[in-house]
Amino acid sequence: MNNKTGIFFLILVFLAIFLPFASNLPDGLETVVETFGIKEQNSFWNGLMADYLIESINNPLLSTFISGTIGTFTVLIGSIILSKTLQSKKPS
Amino acid sequence: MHIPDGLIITNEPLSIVGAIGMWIISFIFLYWSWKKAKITYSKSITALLGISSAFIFAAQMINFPVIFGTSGHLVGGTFLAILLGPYAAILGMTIVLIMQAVIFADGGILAFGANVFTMAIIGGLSFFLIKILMRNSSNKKRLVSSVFISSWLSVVLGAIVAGLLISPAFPGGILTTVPAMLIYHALIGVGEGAITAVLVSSLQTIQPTIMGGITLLKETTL
Repeated sequence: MNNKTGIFFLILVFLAIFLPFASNLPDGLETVVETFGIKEQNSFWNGLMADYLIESINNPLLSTFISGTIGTFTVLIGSIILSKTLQSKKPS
Repeated sequence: MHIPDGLIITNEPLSIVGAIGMWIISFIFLYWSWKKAKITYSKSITALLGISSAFIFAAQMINFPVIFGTSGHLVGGTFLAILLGPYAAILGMTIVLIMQAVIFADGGILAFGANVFTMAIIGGLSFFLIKILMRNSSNKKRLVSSVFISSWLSVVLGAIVAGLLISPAFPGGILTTVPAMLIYHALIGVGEGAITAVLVSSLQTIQPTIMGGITLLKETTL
């Protein structure tokens, strides 16, 4: 597992292959909300890239892929920073 | 299953109590997981935690169709737990949920405590169900079936808790939300179980040494 960069790119390849086949149907929670006709209250935070889309990119697939790439990268960095706080100072 | 703010906070004061309560409960679990993770791992888990959390984020973007016009996606808590053990899994899933809520508004900020509980904490703790089902066995088929059952149950339990938390927004209350969430997520959970079982089975064949959780299954206690 030394080659983090290589595996990161493999994850992006996985995303690129499967994203076109991803279902646009509502998920379980959204289906329950729609079934009972519930109207959500407005949210105070709408994110930086709501719905995994980048406004300036018109192609929805490309837009989702780029936002997914950004998200995957931020999770990678966030998890690495977190894991550094877990390392004990005792000699291994 | 990501609860948005607009569903967890309603005009009912009870909904605010629920949202704040879940923040507090989840924070306690996260602190406990962080403390336990610090003493559990004798070597660095940086690479595996980073890569596996990043994979779960990407995998959560791929919705698969389920019957009745609905879809689901891998949550991944059980998968992270079998790779990393329960504590790092809870923390890794939380990183995924933070990015989803802050960058993509997938799951609310006020609902963040609820989402951490339903997906990260329940998912991570499903590790202990795998441990119970394995009963010290090292049999691969038993592991895969234990992973399937545990990941299915983690989704169903998460959905029940989510159903309770969103109930103030529904006129029918708990009697509406819990059965509805249960029905859909019992089906979505089959997808979760199948994907997790295939991932675990494949990894055990291709790269068994990274399945740190298998060693931890025998060593880790609450």
